[in-house]
Amino acid sequence: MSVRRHLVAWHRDLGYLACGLTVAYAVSGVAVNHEEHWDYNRATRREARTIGAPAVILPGLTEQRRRELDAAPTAVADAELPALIDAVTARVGRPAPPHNAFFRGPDAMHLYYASGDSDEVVYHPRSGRAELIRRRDRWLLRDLNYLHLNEGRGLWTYVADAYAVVLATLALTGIFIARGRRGLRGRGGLLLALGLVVPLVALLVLRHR
Amino acid sequence: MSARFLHLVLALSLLAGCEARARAGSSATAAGPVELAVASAAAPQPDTSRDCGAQPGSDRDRAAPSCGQATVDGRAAAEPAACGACGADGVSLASDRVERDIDPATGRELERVGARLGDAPRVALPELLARPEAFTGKTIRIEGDVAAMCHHRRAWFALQQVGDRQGRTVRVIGAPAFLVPPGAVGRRARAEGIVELVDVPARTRAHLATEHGLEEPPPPERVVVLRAAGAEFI
Repeated sequence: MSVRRHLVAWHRDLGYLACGLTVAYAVSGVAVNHEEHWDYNRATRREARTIGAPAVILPGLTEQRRRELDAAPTAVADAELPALIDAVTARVGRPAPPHNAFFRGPDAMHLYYASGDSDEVVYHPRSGRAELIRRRDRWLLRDLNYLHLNEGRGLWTYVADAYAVVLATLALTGIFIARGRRGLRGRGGLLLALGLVVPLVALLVLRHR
Repeated sequence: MSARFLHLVLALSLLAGCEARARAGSSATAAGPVELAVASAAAPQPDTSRDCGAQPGSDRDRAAPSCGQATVDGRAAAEPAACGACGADGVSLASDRVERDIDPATGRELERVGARLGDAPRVALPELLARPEAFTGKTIRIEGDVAAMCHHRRAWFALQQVGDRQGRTVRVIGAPAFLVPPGAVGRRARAEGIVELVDVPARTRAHLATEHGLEEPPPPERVVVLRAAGAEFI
């Protein structure tokens, strides 16, 4: 059996073996490439509602206190905060109180309902508006990114190493499969050179100029 | 004959790969702590032996420091060209190990990342923000609500004093000691580490403001950050 036939056999078998992970890594690669443009792991859905200023939604206020809060909606006293949290929770339709709530600036109270920040409500006392923010992992892409970015570490590191070796072997064996005008001495050689020139030029232009 | 030769080449390539990996690992652990931008070395230093694995004089050492990372004279570097907008240096080396426990103070479940918290003095965030120079280079513990975090690389999170309504935060940089657990925003956390003062480059500042709602002052005012060795999320 000639060397070329071995290369073809290797290329074919390794190609089948690497196909799944190559597609997974390619999809994740494009997603991660644009990390400055989007959150590649989580999708966010926002909805705005007007639920009323503290003077309107806080129960049991005296008339004087209601007038004070009307004039200065952000001046909710610390003692009134639990009631305000309960009122916002009821108005946005959450069945249970938040696991945490705090102000990020005087006019932005953040309430966190589900685990972490997957269900967040930002309440603005001045306008009485609430922004309902739900975040969830992107279907499939979150899992592909987990593998591609080796977030699990451990054993997957070695699987990914082995995949890299397979990929390199695929590339090297692929070079020698065709011969003649379609091989290294013809079109294949040109494409090979092009494939080397593009990253080299990119390095020269982007990194070493 | 030629087939045997090919098998031999493949086996040798695999061996060479393993060898290179082992060498990279040993040089990273033997590199020793990277010099951090601290004004005082009197306080006990957390273990930073995995800090980027850079050796003095190496290419990585000469490379531009990351966003929010200070240089040896206590000033942050110029705008970094190669790091993410969040300033996520050392993420690839950071441990993603999360230890679950019960918080003795609250009885709630906590997640522990990085080194276990020691007995560093507790400093309230308003005090740290008011007099950052007094704490620069010292190892302290801070506690607060997690107001923001680096979602992409999980390199840092921002702590806000419990009950504070001004939105003033201190960024706690976890990488390379640990990665911030996903979904940390909205939880309560405590962290221990060394206080640093850094210049935040314009690009990072813009990113922090638009993406995370964090207002960090422009130079010449320096921003206080905590380079943490460990943290607990409750």
